[in-house]
Amino acid sequence: MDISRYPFSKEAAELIEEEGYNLEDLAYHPDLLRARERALRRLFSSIEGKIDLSIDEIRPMNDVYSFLISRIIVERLGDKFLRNRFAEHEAKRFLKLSEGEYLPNLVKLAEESFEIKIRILEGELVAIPYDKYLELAKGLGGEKWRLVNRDLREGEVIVSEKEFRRLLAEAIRMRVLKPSKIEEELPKPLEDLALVVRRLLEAKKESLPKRRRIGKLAPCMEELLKKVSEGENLPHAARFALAAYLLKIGWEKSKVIDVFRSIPDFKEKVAAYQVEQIAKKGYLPPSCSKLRSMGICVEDCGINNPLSYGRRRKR
Amino acid sequence: MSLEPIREAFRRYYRSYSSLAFVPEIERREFMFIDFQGTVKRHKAIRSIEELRFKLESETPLHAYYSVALYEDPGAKDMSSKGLKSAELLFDIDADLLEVSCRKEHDHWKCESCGYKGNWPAPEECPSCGSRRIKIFKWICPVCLGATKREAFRLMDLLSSDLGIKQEHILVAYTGNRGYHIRVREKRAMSLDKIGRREIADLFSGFGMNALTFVESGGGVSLPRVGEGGWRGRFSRLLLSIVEGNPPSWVNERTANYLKSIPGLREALLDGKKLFGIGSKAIRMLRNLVLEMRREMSIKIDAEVTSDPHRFTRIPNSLHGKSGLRAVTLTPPELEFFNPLAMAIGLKGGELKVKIVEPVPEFELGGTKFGPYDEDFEIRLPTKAATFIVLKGRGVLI
Repeated sequence: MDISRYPFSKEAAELIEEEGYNLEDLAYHPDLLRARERALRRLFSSIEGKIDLSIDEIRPMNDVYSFLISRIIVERLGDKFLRNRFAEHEAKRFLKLSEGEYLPNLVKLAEESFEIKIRILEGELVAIPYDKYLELAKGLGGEKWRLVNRDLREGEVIVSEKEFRRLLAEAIRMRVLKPSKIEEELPKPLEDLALVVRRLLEAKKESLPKRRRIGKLAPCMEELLKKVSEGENLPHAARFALAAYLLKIGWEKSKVIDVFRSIPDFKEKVAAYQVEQIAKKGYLPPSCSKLRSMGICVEDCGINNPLSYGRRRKR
Repeated sequence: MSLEPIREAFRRYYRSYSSLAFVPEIERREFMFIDFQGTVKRHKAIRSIEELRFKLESETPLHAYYSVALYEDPGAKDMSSKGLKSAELLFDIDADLLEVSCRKEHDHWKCESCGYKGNWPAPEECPSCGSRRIKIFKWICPVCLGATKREAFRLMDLLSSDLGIKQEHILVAYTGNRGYHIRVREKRAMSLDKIGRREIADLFSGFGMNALTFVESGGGVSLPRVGEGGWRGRFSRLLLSIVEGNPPSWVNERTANYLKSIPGLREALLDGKKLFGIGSKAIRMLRNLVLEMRREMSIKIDAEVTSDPHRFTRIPNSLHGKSGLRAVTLTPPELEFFNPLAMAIGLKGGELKVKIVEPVPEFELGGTKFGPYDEDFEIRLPTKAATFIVLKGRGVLI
């Protein structure tokens, strides 16, 4: 198997171990100069949303080290945006570079690197256990990935070779997205590399449209949230106030519904309907005086509606 | 009069039979009880089966549940700190979700504002006064319970054919009221997250089934082959049954005749050959048949229940607070011969006097026939029958 195409694989990890380079070597060793350069390229492409498909034909291990160094830098910077972009990059890179790969090689990759037991069926079809399939397909949009539309036989989902590679790409994405141990200070050359990446990252972020920042919650709402999470049974009016508030400050509906999950008489259907209605009608939470009369107010913040809380504070 | 005599009957039941209550992996479960005042107590951890039995005897709840989930710390007060380890995959089959003819006969509604009444189905608002305070009076009978049992078997067939779940990993439980809970204890199913559970729920209920993915057009039309599994395979075999002239009765004859005449359809189904030169009408009919199949063949389950790992099921052999019947755990073969209205009787002996407040249809409990009773009728009945009528809201104790 061409290792430069699959730097995330178990095989690659074993080769790294065999060659025995440590973190210091990754930073200083002259033989890895090219790998460090390629790591920078890899991260540049990730940030820009492009794919670096180049392969080091002469020393394939350079691509493995480049992946490793890139990951170390992603972890070091701990930036969610960068992590997402890098994961996307690696998934897409795999998808492209695995085209035409001998199917048994891909099966071996799935088994060894992702612990997914795969069977090859007649006609270039592949059988995946349904639980693994669901795990990998959940990030994929489109009706054809839904279990209800699949060829599903006694616990195995049957997919084409192309779909199989798509699922493997998801496995790679998830692996990269999972934070590993965050390194402390790195050796100087890698810190320098990280700094370059950070600058580029910040420039990229500057160029993107801004989202409204979500400030701290109003104290009364914080209190309601706490009560709910402790399984306390809130009266309807308090539930309404909390739901309307959270929706207005930009929480997603599903997240708002989740808030109420711990109350004793929680009913998914009812909660979903209510939250949906509040969102649809755009109801505002009750005013502070109303909240005070309901016994919900806990602090005199000098505002008229809990929604003003964050805004007033920031000024 | 309060429900005290019924509570007393529940207490007598638990004193005699609490040894039948059991819960597997009890120390990992969250418990929930609803008492006769309607107070809900959640987030309870119970360490041993003895503690559970003592609790049932001493507290005598109206409803008693435990979580299908196993938690690190089941007594923690909020869900996120309970530490979900795994959860049985739960399916709720309830007569409410089925189209059963008997509902028209034994269910009715009443407007709580003006007292106007009518037969099932209930309107959104009262046609007489416009109030939305509509109360529905539900009942159970062998017809609707039989329908839920059939649905349970259909679900178990698909669990086996689609997910490869073996019978020994399936538990069936009569809830004590309107249907069955089916639980899958297979390892892979138990570790599914919320999204995975939702996919499984949608798989069986047919939600999200997309005819365009079954009947793909563009450079010829391709159809699922008969050897495929899941709904694709079922659709293919449905088409084959049409080609072979023995479709199920719900397939409209005109549709069947039209589809039968599509050239090369049999080869498409058996060998996966593409269909060429078929018109848009045929494609439309094929796609409509997918939707019809979904309507006729999908399983009527409550998808919310299946997709939520934090759900509860009833403690085996506890009493259901809306019927007084026992929750009974069964193996799939036992389900075949299970008759709830004869075999789930929990309350034995004693009599209670009731006044009928809503008409009660004729019914049979434990082999004895009762009713029908009209409103305002007063009668002394065996405890099981009196409790059944009162908990169904159709009578009061006097």
